[in-house]
Amino acid sequence: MANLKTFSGFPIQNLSSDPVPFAQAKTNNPYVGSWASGGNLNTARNNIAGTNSGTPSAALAFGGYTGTAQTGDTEEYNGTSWSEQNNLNTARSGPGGVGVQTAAMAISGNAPPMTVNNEQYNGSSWTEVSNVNTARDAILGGFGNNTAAVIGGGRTATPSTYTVNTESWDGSSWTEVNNLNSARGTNHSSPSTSDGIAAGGIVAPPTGYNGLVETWNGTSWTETTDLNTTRGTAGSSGTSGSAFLLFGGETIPGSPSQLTEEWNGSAWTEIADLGTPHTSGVGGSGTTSAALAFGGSTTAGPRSAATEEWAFSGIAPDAPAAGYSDAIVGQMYYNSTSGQFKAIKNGGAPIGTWASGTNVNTARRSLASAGTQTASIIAGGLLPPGTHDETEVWNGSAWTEVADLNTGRYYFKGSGTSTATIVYAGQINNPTSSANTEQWNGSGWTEIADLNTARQKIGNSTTGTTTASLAFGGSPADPAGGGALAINESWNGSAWTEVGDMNTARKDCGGAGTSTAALAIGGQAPSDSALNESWNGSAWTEVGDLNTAVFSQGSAGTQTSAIKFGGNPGSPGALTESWDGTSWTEVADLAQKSAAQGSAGVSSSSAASLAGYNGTANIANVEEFSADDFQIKTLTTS
Amino acid sequence: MAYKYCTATNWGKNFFTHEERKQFHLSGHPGDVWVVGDNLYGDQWIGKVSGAIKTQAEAQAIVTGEIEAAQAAYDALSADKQALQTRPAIYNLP
Repeated sequence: MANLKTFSGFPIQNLSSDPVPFAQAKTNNPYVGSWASGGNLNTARNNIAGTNSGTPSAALAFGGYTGTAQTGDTEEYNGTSWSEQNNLNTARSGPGGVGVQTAAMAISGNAPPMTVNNEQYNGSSWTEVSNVNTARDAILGGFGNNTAAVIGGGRTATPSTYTVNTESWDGSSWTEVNNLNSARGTNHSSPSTSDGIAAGGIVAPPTGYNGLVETWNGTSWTETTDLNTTRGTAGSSGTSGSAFLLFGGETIPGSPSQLTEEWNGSAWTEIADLGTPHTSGVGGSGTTSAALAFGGSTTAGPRSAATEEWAFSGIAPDAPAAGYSDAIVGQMYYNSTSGQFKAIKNGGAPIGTWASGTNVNTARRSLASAGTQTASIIAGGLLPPGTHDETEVWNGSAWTEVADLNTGRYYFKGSGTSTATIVYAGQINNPTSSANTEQWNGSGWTEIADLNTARQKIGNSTTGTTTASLAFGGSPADPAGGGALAINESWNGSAWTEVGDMNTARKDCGGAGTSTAALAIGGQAPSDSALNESWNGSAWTEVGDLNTAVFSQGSAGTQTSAIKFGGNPGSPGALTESWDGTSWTEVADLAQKSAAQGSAGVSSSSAASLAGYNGTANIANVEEFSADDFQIKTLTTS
Repeated sequence: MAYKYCTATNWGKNFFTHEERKQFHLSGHPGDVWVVGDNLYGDQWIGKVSGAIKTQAEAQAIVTGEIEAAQAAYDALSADKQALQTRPAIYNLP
């Protein structure tokens, strides 16, 4: 070992800088995707096709339109450059494409005219196999592979006749199956014939493009959440109906786009843009974490040979903290830069602290909230005797006022993210409870299906989503008849369903977790409670109690890593407790007492207390709880 | 534990940091009153936030005055409005 000092006869490691805690390392090196330029195609073209299961280091491109003619040109990509291979037997543009670089299928397309021709590639040459039933182009992908495939939609005649027709390939022939709900040329890419998604579309003028999305389960198509940005003629990659990437295309006719959106099974999220706009049938291959975009048009006119590679860099969300740093609890070392001996001690929630965050714009309490310490949303709240309907969004650096709720209220809860949120229940007119549910799409609120039972002062799954959330307990009215309820309802994205009741009816309890793995923390039953119940998706089980009974507190995290902070009884408190999946431990207090605050956060080591009530007035203050995975202590002689 | 007392307005981000919370006791109270651990770091923080030093009695008087004002406001509310919150209670600073 180099660079060692001797300390009392033992070698001491010499470091020029302190180890960085994992949480800080993730902040310093976030896991994000980005597009980088790759090797150019040999033949520039649009309406090109690729294989759905290609990779950025082994992809296949075939067919397309060069600007003067349809082409059967076939090229293989090795991660660096494209090499020419044997051409398709029938030159065509806009075919469907499935398979891998060494076993691919080119399906239909425009020769012109539209051709029913279907060809398979074995890694060196193309062979004609059985034809499709309906000739078309603008297929924009396909599900499956050489031996089992599905294509949906496309254009059956120029200039703009689009179809809902869907066909299934069994390795020897094509069969018509259930149609798309909306006729269009739509991007669909998945290696599975029973789990895929079709996103966006090109349709007849004057509409031109749409943002419709449908999922395929092997039997039928079901409409789901639209794209954030309407578009067609994009590229795509994906591995299932819940993992899909859509990139480029045109959002307005003649206006190529660089936008990339990712689908995670419940929501579309806009992520890093392509380096240059690609449209008019850009080729796509790969997964949501490693994809390739090639060809298309980079402007409304010229055909492109450009290729871009999608990859992630940084520390992955599932990267284990253990072993990431060279920090070892118990280790002592000499920092040669600061000239200090230091020791590494235990970290985690017990050493976490609260720091002041950026104040919200409007002081309030009994508000709804959702999100994380760096991206959250608050809505509504109480300012006796008035009711708030204001919504504010936090982007990690500033709170911004955005569109108001349709119905101002308080004593309600929310789940989701700062761009996709649902809020539900609450009190609108004292003392009547509400069953109202509203959904936030990043720009406005829309009323959606009500709860079955109107309630207020509920607990909820704080890390739920717009398609999976849980509302438990609460009160039917307050104060008159303000007893506690044990009712529990689960949200599936379109409706609330009553599921297993809590063991102990409670109101004003905290919550944590998801719709299938949640915690119900404290509350009033009706006396102040320290009870803690765990939900497994079908039933509640009593688990370790809080150290101190509490209600109307903040809470965040998961079923196995949660935190509660502040709350009542009496005057608001500052007490904070951390849950490790087994028991609650008192950790650092809030600096300012607060109750009925909003909450954000993902674990017992990362949470935020948003606004609330300090015992005399509503406050706008924010506090942020963070805990490093280890701490460094400087050794002194005193 | 010995404390110092001051008033300062919480401006938000970086008014107090995680590092400072590890270095000294800090608790906020009505009337922008702060109870601060009496050590070097606490003194530095008071300087950072331009805190106005108070005696314990002065700080207590501010807090009590704020709570009494809140109590009066509460008492003036109708019964149904009062039901939305508890009556603020006077307490002693440490």
